Formats: sequence, C-alpha cells, structure tokens
Amino acid sequence: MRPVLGLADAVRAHVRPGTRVYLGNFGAQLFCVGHEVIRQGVRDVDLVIASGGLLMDQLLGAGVLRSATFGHCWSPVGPAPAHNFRRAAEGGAPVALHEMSLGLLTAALTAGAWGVPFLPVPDRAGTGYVDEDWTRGLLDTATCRFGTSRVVRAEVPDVAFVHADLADADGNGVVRGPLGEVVVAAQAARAVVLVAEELAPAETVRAAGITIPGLLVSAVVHHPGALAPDGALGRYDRDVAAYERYARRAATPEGFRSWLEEEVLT
Amino acid sequence: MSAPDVGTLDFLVRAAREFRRGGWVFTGFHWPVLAGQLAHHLPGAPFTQAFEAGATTHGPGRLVPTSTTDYPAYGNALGYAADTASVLLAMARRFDRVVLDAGTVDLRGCVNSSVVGEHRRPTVRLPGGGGAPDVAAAARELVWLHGGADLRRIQARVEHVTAAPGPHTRVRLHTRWGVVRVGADPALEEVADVDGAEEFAAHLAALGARTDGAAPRPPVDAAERAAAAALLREAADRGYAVARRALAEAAAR
Repeated sequence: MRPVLGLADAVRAHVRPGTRVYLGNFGAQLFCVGHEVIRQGVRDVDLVIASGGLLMDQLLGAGVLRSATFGHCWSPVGPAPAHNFRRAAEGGAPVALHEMSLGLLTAALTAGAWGVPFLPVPDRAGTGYVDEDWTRGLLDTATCRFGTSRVVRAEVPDVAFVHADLADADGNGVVRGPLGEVVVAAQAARAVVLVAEELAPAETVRAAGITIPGLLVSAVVHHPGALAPDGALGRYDRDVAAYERYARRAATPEGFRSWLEEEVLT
Repeated sequence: MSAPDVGTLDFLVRAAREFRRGGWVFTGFHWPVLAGQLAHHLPGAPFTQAFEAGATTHGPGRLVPTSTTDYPAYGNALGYAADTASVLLAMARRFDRVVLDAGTVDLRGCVNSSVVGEHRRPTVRLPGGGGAPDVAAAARELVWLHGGADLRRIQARVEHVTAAPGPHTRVRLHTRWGVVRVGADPALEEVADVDGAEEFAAHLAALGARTDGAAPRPPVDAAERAAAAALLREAADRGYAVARRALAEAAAR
C-alpha cells in the first residue's frame, strides 16, 4: 500500500526550499502541483521540466524558482511568449536557466535513473548548447579506451511529480499517451508522487498496462482535473481560452499578479 | 468571408505536400502541425507522423492540435506512444523526413530559437529548441518551414545556433516566396508567383545564394486552397495567431 495524500499534504511533504523538483509530464503539465507550490509560498526550488510551458512561466513569475533546467518555454497556444520567462531572462533575474535540448535532458535523467554520473550523448557541437555553454556546465567531454564522447551530467531530482490516468492502492500508475521523459524521471528521482485522475482497482490498472510501477512511488494523490487548463487524453480537452487569457494578462507584471491572485491564490 | 492571402495558403499547401510524399514524417511545432493536419485532406501517399514526446499519429486530429503535445486533440489518431529518447535519439535518423518550424534561419540550414543578444542577458529571449536540435542533427532529410513575411529573418548566419543539420542532411527551406536548398551550396530551387518573390530572390542573392536556376513552383489548385482556407479558419478558433492574422488581413482587403 502507498499512502494516498491530499495535494497540499503531498507538496508540503516533498517540496521545500532547495528541493530539486521534476514536474511532469511532457505535454500533460501538472498545473495543480505548481499552483499548490505557489500557494504554499515555497521559494528557491530547482525545477527540472522538459517542456516548460506556462507552468514554468507561472513558477518563475511567482518567485518560486532558484533554477530551471528545461528544453523550451512558451505558451503552446498561439503560440504566445512565456512572458515571465522572457522578463526573467531579459531582466537578469537571479534564476539560473540551464537550457537543454530534450534529447540531452532525457539522457541526463537516464543517467540519474541508472545511477551513473554522466551519459554519452550525440554531439551538439556547432550549437549554443556546446559552443556557448547554454546548459551552464551540464555538458563535458569524456575519453576512455572506447573513444571520446560528449557527455551530460546525471540529473537526480529530489522528487518527481508524475501525472497518471489511473493509480491503484499499491502506487502502480498508468500514463495514457506519449511518455516523454516521465519514466526515466520517475526512475531517477529520490521520491515519486503519482498524481492520478482516478483511483482504480489493481486489476483495472494491470489491464490498462502499468507504466510507473509502485516500487518507484512514495505517495499517490487523487486529483481529477490535475492538468487543467492542459488537457488529459480521453478525459478533458486543453482549455484554449484559459491559455489565451493567461497570455494576455501575463504580458505585464501587474497583469500577472492579478491573474495569480484571482486564479491561484484565492 | 474573404480567403486568406494566396501566399499563406499556397505556403501551407506546399508544406502539406511534403507530408503527402509519404512515409514517416517527424513533425515539429507550429507550421508543421498545421501542414500535417492539412495533408490529411490532400491527395498523395500515406504518411505517419512522429512527435518529440513519443507520439505517432495515423490520421488527422479530431481537432486542429494547438501543439505537438495536444494529445486530446489528436484523439484516436494517436498510435505508438513511446518516449522522447526513442523518437529523438534512437529513431530520428530513420524518419523519411523531418519537418520543423524555422522562425529565424540561415543559408547553412541553422536556426536560432533561443536568444537575440547575449544568452545570459538577452535582448530578446526566445522559447528554446526543445527537440529540434536533436532531430535536426540526425535527420536524413530536413524541411524547414518559414511562414513569416519578414525577409530579415532569413539570414546568412544566425546570431546563435539552436538547431543545426548534420553533415549529410539534405536541407530545404520552404517560404511563402519559394523553396531554397540550404547548406553547402545554397540555391533558390523554386520561386512562387506571388508578391515579394523578386525581393526574396534579391535578398537571397545578397546573402550569397544562387538564384539563377530557380524553376516556377508547381501550381496550387482551387481545391487545395479551399482546404487550406478551411484549416486556417479552424486553426483560428484553436488559437493560432498566424491563422487569425491571415483571416484579419483577408477581411481588411
């Protein structure tokens, strides 16, 4: 059995200043977790996220982050700029932005999952990731008798929040749709909180196909609508209007603050 | 309702034809999503799309997807749901074609989607590359889609390189004015019969591309344009800024 926690309790138990947090999933963003982190006023979080999207933008705007390791960051609807991300980068905010390609980030999590300090990766020489150190120290070169390779440093989150369509009492989870990097993130992390749309009997979960085994899972949160305004395959659509509303309001710091007050903090 | 301008419609149709050449087509964000969706409504060879988060699709989305990760919009078209490493690192070199968006692109086939100015204190912070650096480097054939109307975004050398093709990648750049072969010997391959085509050719020549051998672009027929216009109307409802802009410009004409 794995403990079933409320969202607030799960965040309180796992996210503190200095915690390295992976937020899943790629294309199924756990807005409910990010918003709860904001509500609890946690600061100095180190975020690991593949597709930063509006979730990373909101965490940046709310002052939650000390660093972010990410593949890209924008609003997928429009597409529109991630305004807080832009303001932070262009204004020189004290947030360390480690820009990775998604392949590199996945390899870093794989190294973390395997318990090795780094992993050979295809070279990206000729790009800013290598030539201008956009990753801020996460790439290096290793030579051994098998050859020389670019390598990426292992990524080991303290906690991974992973979205699942179904979860059972033993913490087995079913991820519907593309997996992105979520499995290796769960394997790499020191703790995993499964945020499930639905709790289901074990036989239902087994029949659907277990993606995240309970072995990896520390706690389960039952939270229908966990991704909203993002969409969940087979359950609810991406809320285009909500994305557009956010993009308009976050265009100014004042607009973002009022959006935050109305849609997250109250 | 007025139709969007021919340049936008024809650009979209020609981009969609890249999918209809058939096979496995890696599909990037924005214009490639729209072109892939349109391609299902055009004649041609069957194709399968693959996406950076591990999805494949085997038919049109039930809605115009707002992005490559708008899984509910793809609905039952979703097929093999693998992972990022499988698609970007293990399978990228096997795709028949890789179609990606190119906001700012150069004649080498390199794209900057990260920053203008210094990376640690940029003048303009752009979104970043996502999976494009991985899949572009491994692609056998890379098609960049530049849907904009600002020639300054097509450069001799981009200020920073987010994504670059591999040394053996065949690279072409689709624009509303024509198709350019980019790489070691950049050349204008096809020129469209639209406003701005002459300026485009002059711009390319100034950058160092050959422009003397360009052929007229194959025509786009009325049915194809109608399909593209219908797609853009649906895309406008789904939040696509380029679609809304095209429709607004059409209404103003």
